[in-house]
Amino acid sequence: MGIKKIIKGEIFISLVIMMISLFLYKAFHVSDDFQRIFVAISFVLVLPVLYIKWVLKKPLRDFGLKIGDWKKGLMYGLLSAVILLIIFSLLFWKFDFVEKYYLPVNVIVNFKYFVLRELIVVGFFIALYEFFFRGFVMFYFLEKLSNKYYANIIQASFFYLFLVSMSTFDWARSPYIIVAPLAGLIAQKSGSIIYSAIFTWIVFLILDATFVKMIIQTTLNNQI
Amino acid sequence: MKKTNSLRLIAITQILFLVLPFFMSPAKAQSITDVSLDNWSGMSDPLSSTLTDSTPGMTQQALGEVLKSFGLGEEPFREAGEFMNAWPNKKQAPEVQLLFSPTSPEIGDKITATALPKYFKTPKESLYFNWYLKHAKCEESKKGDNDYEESCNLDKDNDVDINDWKIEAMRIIASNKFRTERADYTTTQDSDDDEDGFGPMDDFIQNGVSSDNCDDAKDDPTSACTRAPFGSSNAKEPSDGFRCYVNDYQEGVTYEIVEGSTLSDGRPYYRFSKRGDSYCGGTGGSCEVNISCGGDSGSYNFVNPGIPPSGEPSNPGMPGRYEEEDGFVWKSVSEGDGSLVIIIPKSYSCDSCTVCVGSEECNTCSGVLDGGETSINQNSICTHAFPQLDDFTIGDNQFTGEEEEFWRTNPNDSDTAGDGIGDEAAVAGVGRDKLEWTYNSGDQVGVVVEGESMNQTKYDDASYMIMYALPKNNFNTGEDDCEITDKGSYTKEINGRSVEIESAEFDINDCIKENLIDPLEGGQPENIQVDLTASPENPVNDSSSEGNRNGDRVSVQAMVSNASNNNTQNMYYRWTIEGNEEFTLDEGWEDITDAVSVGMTEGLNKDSISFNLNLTEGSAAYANVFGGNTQGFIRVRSEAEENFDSGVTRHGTGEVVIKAVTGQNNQIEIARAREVGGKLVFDDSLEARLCRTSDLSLNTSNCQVSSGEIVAARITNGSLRNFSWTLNGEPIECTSDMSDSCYDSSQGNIVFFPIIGSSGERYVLDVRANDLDPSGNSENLGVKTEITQSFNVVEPALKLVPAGGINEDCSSQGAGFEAKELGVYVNVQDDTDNVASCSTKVFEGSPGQINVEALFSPSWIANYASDMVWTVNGEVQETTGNTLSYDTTNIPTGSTVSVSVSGKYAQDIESKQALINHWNVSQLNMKESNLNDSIKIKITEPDPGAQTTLKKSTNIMASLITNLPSQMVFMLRIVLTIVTIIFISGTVFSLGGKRV
Repeated sequence: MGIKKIIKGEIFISLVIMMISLFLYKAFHVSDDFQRIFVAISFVLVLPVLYIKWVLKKPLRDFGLKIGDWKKGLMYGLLSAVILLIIFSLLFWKFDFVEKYYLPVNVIVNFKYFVLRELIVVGFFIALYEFFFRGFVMFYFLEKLSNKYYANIIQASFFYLFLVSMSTFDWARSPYIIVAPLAGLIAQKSGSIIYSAIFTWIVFLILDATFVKMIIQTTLNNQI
Repeated sequence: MKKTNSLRLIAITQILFLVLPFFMSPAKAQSITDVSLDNWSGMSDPLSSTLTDSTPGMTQQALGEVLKSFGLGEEPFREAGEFMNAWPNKKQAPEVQLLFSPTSPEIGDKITATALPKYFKTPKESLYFNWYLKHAKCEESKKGDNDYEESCNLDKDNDVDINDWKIEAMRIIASNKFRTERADYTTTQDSDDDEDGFGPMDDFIQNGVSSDNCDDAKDDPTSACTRAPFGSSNAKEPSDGFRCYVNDYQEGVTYEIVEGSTLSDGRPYYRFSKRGDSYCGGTGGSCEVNISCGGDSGSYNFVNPGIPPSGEPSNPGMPGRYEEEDGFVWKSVSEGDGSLVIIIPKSYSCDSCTVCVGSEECNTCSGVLDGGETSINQNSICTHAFPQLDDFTIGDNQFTGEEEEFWRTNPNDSDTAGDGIGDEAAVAGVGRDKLEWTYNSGDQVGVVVEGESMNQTKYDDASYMIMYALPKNNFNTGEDDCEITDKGSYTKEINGRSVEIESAEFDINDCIKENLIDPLEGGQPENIQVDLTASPENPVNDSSSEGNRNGDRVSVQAMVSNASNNNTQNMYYRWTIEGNEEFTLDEGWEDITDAVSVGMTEGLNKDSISFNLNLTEGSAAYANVFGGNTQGFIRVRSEAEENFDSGVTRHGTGEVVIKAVTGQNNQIEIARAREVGGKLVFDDSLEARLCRTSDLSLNTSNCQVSSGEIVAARITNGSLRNFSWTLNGEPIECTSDMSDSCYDSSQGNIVFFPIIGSSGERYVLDVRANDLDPSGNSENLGVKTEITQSFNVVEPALKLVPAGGINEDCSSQGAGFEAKELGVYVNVQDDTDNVASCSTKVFEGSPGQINVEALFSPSWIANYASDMVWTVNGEVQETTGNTLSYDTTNIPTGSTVSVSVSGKYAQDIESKQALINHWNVSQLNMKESNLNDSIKIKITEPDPGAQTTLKKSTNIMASLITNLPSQMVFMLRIVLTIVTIIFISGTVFSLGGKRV
């Protein structure tokens, strides 16, 4: 497939829609939390859904919204977990990750806020991002590209581009960077974004819990 | 007729005797005028003797006749005579005054004492200034005393005495801080190489009481002999020697200082009948003369001079003395046939004395001798107040190296001090009227100034009395031998006349201790000069009892003129304020300091205070100051204190009395002007009053007005008659054309002025007034006042708030809703005193009655706002006044109630016409102001606890509900954006897109 065809055809339009969605998500001026959530849902979820349904005229299950192969999902999930464990171990030991990672103070000191954050905030945004990057972006290119791994690379690239556009890099965002290709791998192999979403959510839950525990332990040690 | 002429001749002669002294020298005049009109017997003149022997009554009769013939009475001449008799005692004796700089020295300060001599004929440069300086540790003491100070014994005589004080002072003067370690005194020990000796006289003369023969003193001078002339450093000795005098300031008598005592006129005498060769074994024999007078007795060794006297009795011409008796003197003289005469002081009567010559003969009093027959030559004696040293003499014209070393002068410099005075002359104090030293606590200083006075002597030469001046004029205190003793007189033959000369014994050195001056004397350490100034001169009291009162602000400033080192920064002040309805010196003043709210009343460098004179009628302070009157007195006192020295402080008190006037309400009344019949009037209605506090009782300090207003200002204090009104410093013109309350000739108690300016501009209205009646028909109580009122131009506006206002914690009282708390202003010094930040637009309330109030700015436009329309959620509400009540019971919780109000404010037509007519204000500057405001009230659940728990999670919903219209717009924009994107992409897709 030549570049000309891609540019003139559906892929180009889809690529533009993906970029416009991310651009508007970031650029639309919001003044409170309601507007922020509304914008996220609108451009990360609603716009892709409408595009899929009305323009591409495809079912959403073609974009990972299905049960898929749970065995592969579990297997690649465990594999990814092992890889992540190694990577995070390096981060913890070599790069003083705990000192650079951060969570809101009230989340650290108040378990209720921690639970609310992990269930609602983290879960909500993981679901949105899984749908957009793994579901919309990756599954779209899985269908179009012969080399399936390129689709994973594209979605990861989109994700990185999005992170960069959100702000300058910091260590608090590093888990997203690491998780993105692994989540893409799980979704690709299982054919569903459900497992990649669960995997990502569990990773962040364990990461945040570990971080909170280490912070509290360090604080207690200092007090003693 | 003959008798009459004779009487006139006698009288004229008497008058001449009275008048003549005015044209004669003082000495001659004194000798002649020492008479009394009542006692002519004192005259020794042959003529007067004749007259005396004749008829005193006749003399006076003759004098009366003469005076009568000239139309004069006898009494004035009698008084003149009495004055003239006392005149000799009115002579000006020399004095000296010491000045110190600084006047209040502290330890370690360089202090200069300057002597200011008066009534000396000798110029200052030739006077002797013999200084003495006593340090506190150098009190007089004998060696062995507990307080003996070796370092004070400068003359090494084992005593600390005045001589050491003199040395201390004169060393400072002569050496001028010369560093003796640089000098080599060994080579000039016995010589005066630099020729800086002082002693201009050729021969030595006696200095002080005779104890030596100064004729031989050239080779062996002692301090009892000197070549320094008395009275002046360049004086010439009179032919019969220097004569020194001392003045008794109590008596006014000046005595010639003599050795020994003198006898007086009218003294009893004992003449022995035997010839001289018959006593005591004949010529040359001696025997004892025993004298007994009253309780005094003694003996005298008589040496018989023989016949004719081959010599005088022992001690010829000199009085004998019983050493153990004070004041009992006698004299022995020999008559021509060698008979012995013993003369006894006149204080003893003849009957009380017996005189025996040896065992041979006793005799009784022979009678009374007058002064003319038995004058006794007295030995006048002068004394320099130089330091006395055993080893060398000051004023011997020899200032050897040894002396230079002692006085710490430069042996190679004849003028170590560098002031043109040789070293020895400097030690003698010639012309040295200043002494500078480093002050120490307890230092005392003094100076003996020796010189020729302005008074002439009685001697027939050009001499003037050589006298001394001491800083305290203490010459006869009776303390420490400072006493003029053996006062008497002797008679001397001068120009063929017997002249009586008062004489006494006196040693100037005995009075030095009585003439020490402490530089801090005169009250300096205890007396700080505090002067207070107060303004205004006659402040007006505001006696009203409420609100922001407007009594004059009284300011009192303290000024200290003699602070140590001119530094008033370290002065500690204490202020008190007292009141009295009458002006008295000390009685009746009551402390009202607390009543006037003066704030801090004491402190370091607190040199001023201010207070508002707002004494409420009926208060104790008001009663103290004004009683039942309209005027009273306020006394402000300031006590100043400073550290003066270690452990020593100085104090001073100043006070100022202020006459205050009280009025009921010392304020300007301010209102909107109203135009009636083309003339402006002061609108007395309550709603027209401007600038009033919330309780409408008094003026606010900063009055808010809107542009286009005509302001009327009035003073109603009936005692004030004259007014000077200014606005921003410019006089306010108010003529009878503008108002019937104004006058063409002068300003009255009412003025009118327009406010034409932009928001933020400021006007300052000032009025001065007093009760002066130029016609003089009314009493002037001295009432004065000055009142200032400022105005700020603001844009008319209104604001909706919970009825009753918002409390600090954003709550309200009875309004049914409260302001939303936006945050907290944290007080970093007191976290219990945090202040909530309350929203002025977003409010919260439970379902029920809400009361919303419209607040106007300026507040008084509430009375003039028009077309007021209230709406709730867009529905117009019927209400009167500036408050709206609305029932939100049926409004679901979570909903928002929007309350709005609108209206307008503008001047009435008459006011606009007045602006145009009186001040030519353009109509374009008269605008109408729209007033409007709206608030949102969120209706919430009544349970505040549940609200708190879910606060975080419901923030998003609250944001949505609270700002529903804006969120709807936002959502619509999002939806439209998405729809547009989908539409465009779908269109593009359907037109050119190909599935690949």
